Amino acid sequence: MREYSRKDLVLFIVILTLILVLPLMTGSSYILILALLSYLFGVLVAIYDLFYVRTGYLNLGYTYIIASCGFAAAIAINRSTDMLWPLLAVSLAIALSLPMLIPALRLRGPFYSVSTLLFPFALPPIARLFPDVFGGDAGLYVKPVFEDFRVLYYSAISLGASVVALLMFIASTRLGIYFLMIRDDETLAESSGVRILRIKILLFLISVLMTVSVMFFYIQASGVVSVELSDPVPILIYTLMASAVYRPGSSLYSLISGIALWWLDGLMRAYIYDLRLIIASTLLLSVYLVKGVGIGVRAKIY
Amino acid sequence: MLELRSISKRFGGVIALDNISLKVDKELVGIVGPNGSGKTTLFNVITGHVKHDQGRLIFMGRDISRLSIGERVRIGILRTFQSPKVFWSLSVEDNIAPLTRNKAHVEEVLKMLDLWERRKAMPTRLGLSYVRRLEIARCLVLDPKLLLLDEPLAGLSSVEASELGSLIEEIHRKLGIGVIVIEHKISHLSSFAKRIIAMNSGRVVIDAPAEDAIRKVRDMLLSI
Amino acid sequence: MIEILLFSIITGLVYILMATGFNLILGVAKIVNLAYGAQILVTAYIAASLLPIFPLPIALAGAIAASIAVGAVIWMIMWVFRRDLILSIVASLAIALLIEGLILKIYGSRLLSLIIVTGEIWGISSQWVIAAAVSISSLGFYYLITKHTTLGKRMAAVAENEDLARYIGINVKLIGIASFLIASLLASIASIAITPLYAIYPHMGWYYLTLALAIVVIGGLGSTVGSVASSMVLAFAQNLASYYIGSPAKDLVPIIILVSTLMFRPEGILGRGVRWA
Repeated sequence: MREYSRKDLVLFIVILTLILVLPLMTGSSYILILALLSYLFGVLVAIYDLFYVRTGYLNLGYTYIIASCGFAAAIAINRSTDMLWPLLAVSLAIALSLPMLIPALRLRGPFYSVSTLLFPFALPPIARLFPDVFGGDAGLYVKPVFEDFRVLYYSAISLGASVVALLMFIASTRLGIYFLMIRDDETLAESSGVRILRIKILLFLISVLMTVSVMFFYIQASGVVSVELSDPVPILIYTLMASAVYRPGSSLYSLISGIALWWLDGLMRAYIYDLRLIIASTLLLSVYLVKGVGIGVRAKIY
Repeated sequence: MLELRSISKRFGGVIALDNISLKVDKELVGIVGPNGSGKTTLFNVITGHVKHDQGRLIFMGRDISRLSIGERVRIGILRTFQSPKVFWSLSVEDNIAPLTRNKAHVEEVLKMLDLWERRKAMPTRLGLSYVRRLEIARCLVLDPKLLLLDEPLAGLSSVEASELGSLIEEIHRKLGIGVIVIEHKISHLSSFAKRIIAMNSGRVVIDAPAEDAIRKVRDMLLSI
Repeated sequence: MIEILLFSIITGLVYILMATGFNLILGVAKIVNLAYGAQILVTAYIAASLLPIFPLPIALAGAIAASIAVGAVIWMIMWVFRRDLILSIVASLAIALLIEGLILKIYGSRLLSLIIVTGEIWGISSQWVIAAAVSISSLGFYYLITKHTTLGKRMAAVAENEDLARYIGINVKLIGIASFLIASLLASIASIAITPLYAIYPHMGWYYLTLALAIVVIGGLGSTVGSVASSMVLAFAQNLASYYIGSPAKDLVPIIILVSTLMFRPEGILGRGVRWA
């Protein structure tokens, strides 16, 4: 756990405590649902940050995976009659997300990124072509699995915390450093015996598994899943912004930034809806401008 | 250990390697030649970064032509590159440690290359000489049987170059591995290479023990 | 059937125009301009606003000028980031979103239609004829510039080897600006050619961007002929899919062809060498 200081772990516990006691502070299930959704969004950002930013394989189509996992979970819950529905959810999620593995195996750098950008825009047409399965433009209603909201709340928090803890752990392992090596110089990593193909496949599987487990709770809290989830605007802006706070310990900071940005988006929707995109994109540009100045010249050119 | 049989490679209209045949055992060999003579392409073919058009590539008795870059690394063919290539955002230690489970080995390698004191430093803060050592350290930690060094002394001062040259010889001696060094200046190689190959236009023009080779190269240059 | 054929050819021509602009920036300035779709968006909206007020040539000229101005601003921001790939991708993305946000704020989210010409010529919709004529002449001009002017030769030199070009005295930065401005010009002409054929709305920048991206990746890097081929393949595939399966199928064509190409022929239809590493 070399990357995480005691301060970071304390911060994690503080946030977790806050979220856990929230139901005791307010009876409004509306607030609790919003809190839960923002928390789960933060977890998604943390997943995105580790697997798709830290590796240098900047995935601009992560919302496709988010939506696919959402639909996979919804279909599994709605249609399954036995206890095997988690298996169905995972299989569907992997099957739907699988095309996104192909660019990762064939392309690098900016061309990987631009190829991934196409995927989110494929989901609305698919939904329109198969309205029975995907619910068309309106989306799918999700059958509630939990009878008691508090059970949903606490299970979701636990799962989210486990995912973030797992992400932090992976970041500190050899695999986590392989991600950085691949980002720095994939050719060199390959020439150093790093098993690039295996890592890419592993990365894909773990990220989809984590995303589908988060999305299961997400759609339970929101009650519905639609192709709107796949629209990169504005989710991509927020995931990129939140992971720009990169430094060792980034999974945790991604979580916090994700939660904060989700609330910010909510506020903007409520009060300044038509300026939302302008503000979000300006913020994104500024954050990266500052980050860009900070990075400077990373490698001395001899 | 390594054998090239009639290896040829063209890039479009340019013949980079022209029917090259040679054998290298556990020796310290130097390769010289002007730009474009095919030196780096030769390395690229051996490591798999470039696929040869014709010929056979034999390592430890087996034809490795179909092996991927990663597979060749795992059977012991390691290389450095012409321009310095390290993981710039990782410390010296982190450049190497994740590549092996053997911590003692990492320490041993870093100490051998005089990098142990600098193990927490970032490569951007190291002078070129130490960056080159880091590149070699990365190779050593992966247990090479054949080490390919592409212009490791380029850009170094005479003192640094001579130090690194001795270090390369020491590595060859202590580990008993094959080492092939590409260098631009034959003077760099004269102090430690036992055998020197000179290339020109994709062909091997001289292949002899160091002293003979140097004499022949001098004769060639004087006869122009 | 003839209609589909004709329409496919015309759409294909416009796609070639679009892809050429994108490829130009990519090849010369080595920048992935994700705000390219936004530039197409800007042209369409400015044209739509100016047309009711000004005569046709002035309105179009204004729209094109606006697009080039936007291109210049994008270039200035992107040039700062070009050393870092991740930063330049995010920066151009942010710019694209900012433009979309501004358009959304100024014009609202309802669909508009941009009508440049009406009626028919020789039994074909005039807009189609204009689209074809404009694309062909622009591509012709572009070909002349690249092959027969000093600027064209310098752009080719910078695209081939930037350091060497700088070494022999070419002002790389100036050539970079020039390529960006020419690309913006091509994008805006493509916009005027194609957007009147469909409704215009603030989110459409993404449609054209992803189309341009698909064309370039499928056609193969470093191959202009490849982009021509993939433009045509996509145009035909899209129109056929739309006719036989339905409109949503049209939007799926680029990505299906992209994934298939990546699986079976990763270097693209006519690409050469390794993908960007």
